[in-house]
Amino acid sequence: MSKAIVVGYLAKVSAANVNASHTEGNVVVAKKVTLPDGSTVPYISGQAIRRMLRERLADLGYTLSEPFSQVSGQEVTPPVRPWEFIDEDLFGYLDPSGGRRRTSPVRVSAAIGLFPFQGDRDLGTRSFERFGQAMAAGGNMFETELYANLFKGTILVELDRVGVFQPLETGGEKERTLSSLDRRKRIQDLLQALNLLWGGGRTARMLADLSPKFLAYTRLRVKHPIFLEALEARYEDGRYLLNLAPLVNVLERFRDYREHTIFGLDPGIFGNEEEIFNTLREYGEVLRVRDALAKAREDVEGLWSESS
Amino acid sequence: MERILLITVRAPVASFRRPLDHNYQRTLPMPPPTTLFGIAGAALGLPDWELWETGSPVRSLKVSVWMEGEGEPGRAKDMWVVLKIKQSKIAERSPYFRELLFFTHYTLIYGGDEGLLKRLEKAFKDPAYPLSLGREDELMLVEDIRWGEASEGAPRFRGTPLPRDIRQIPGIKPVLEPGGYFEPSVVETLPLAFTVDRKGVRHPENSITISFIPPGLEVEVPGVPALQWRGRSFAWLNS
Repeated sequence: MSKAIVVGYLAKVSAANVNASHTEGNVVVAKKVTLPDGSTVPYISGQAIRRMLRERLADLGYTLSEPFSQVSGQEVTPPVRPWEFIDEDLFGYLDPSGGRRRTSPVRVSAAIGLFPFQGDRDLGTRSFERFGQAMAAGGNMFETELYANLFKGTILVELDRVGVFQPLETGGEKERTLSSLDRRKRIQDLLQALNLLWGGGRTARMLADLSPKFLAYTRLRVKHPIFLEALEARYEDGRYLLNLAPLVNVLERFRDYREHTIFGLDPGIFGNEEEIFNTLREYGEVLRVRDALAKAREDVEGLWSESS
Repeated sequence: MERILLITVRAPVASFRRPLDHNYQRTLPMPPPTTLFGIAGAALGLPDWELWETGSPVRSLKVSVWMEGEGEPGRAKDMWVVLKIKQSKIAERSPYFRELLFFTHYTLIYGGDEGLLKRLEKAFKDPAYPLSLGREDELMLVEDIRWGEASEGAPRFRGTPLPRDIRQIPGIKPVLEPGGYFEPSVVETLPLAFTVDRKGVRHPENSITISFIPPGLEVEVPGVPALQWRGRSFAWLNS
């Protein structure tokens, strides 16, 4: 029986600061991690990606829940109607007043840059003209850290929990389950949201497309985020090269647990496209990302039928 | 000799908040005992109110952990924003910082009744809930599951927590080797369990002092009963 869908993906950012941290003086710093050797790599938090996925689900026509729909004292209460709101279903909620809470059946890892941050900054000016002065008065200079990088991320979907709500999650007396049709549609639309992924801060001047340029989709009989450490790349002669050894290793290691695996590969991103195609086709179809996600949505169509 | 179950795990991001930290949330360098119990409970499919029940099988486990590799994981300071409420309205946004560990690599060690350990082995191969090191999105990958026979060993530790305040133990000395580096241990008072009230709020119980020995240098700590497996020493945190 299928228990999870895991998607490992790579998104390419050419020049942006998708997820900023605090400001240091007049510098907006990027979220980044310092490695033991002193170098740093940027990352986009799992919370930021969840937020983007929610917004893309809204683009797809869903009405989202309002996490602060009721405010009383210091307590805020979400609607707690996950059958109605896809984001409460997929991403969980906490009602501090009554202890109703839903752990997210969709786990979203941080997206971590594969290459070190080089210290690049974008210089900007906030003109005093905006504050009623003449343009000649000048303005305040500020800087924003920015990077070019490939980000790796993982999404894990607990299939047995999507569209299934326990009494302690809802305050009801019985478990409540959506129809298989609705459950499948929610997962399919989550995959579509990933296909449309963009967002974060500073999009007015540093818009970044975060839709995957490479992805590995697999439906599993166990709940393991198998692609979490499997995506690595190097940069040579002006091109990214995907290191296939760690990916092949997990595909082999989880061979007995994989039920259906699909790969998405967009052209023009990797210098070793042919090697990627020839190596991965032994483990599943290799299609363009858009087609791979369409195929993945078809795969979801088979869930909760007798054969799954 | 004692049968132990060793689970080697990796996680790109992990965090273990120190209990009293609020606006600046430091992380412990390794998962504390309650996290080790929580991971076992998640693998077995126990929600936290069942995990922490008096008769919960998980409570009878013995737990420990060590860091793999020689060095510390990467670190980041992540800014979050808390929305504050005044007069039933969201009035202000208050930033706080949370330390995160990146590219962590640990071996989680479990001991106790062999039947339960076998259940746990099966559960780690096919966990009921996805496993995480810290918050729910801090997913971890189970890299290896092994059985071992731990024997009594020399109390020489590196990259592992000890159920003691090492500042209070006389006679501690580093085992000096070329290339070794040392930094002070993190010492923290941490619970060994929780009780969960009707609202689902967890309350700590059985707090003890734990010292997290960093990985860069082996330290001899007299008076701590050590177990050893494949040349590496550890101590149960809850026995």
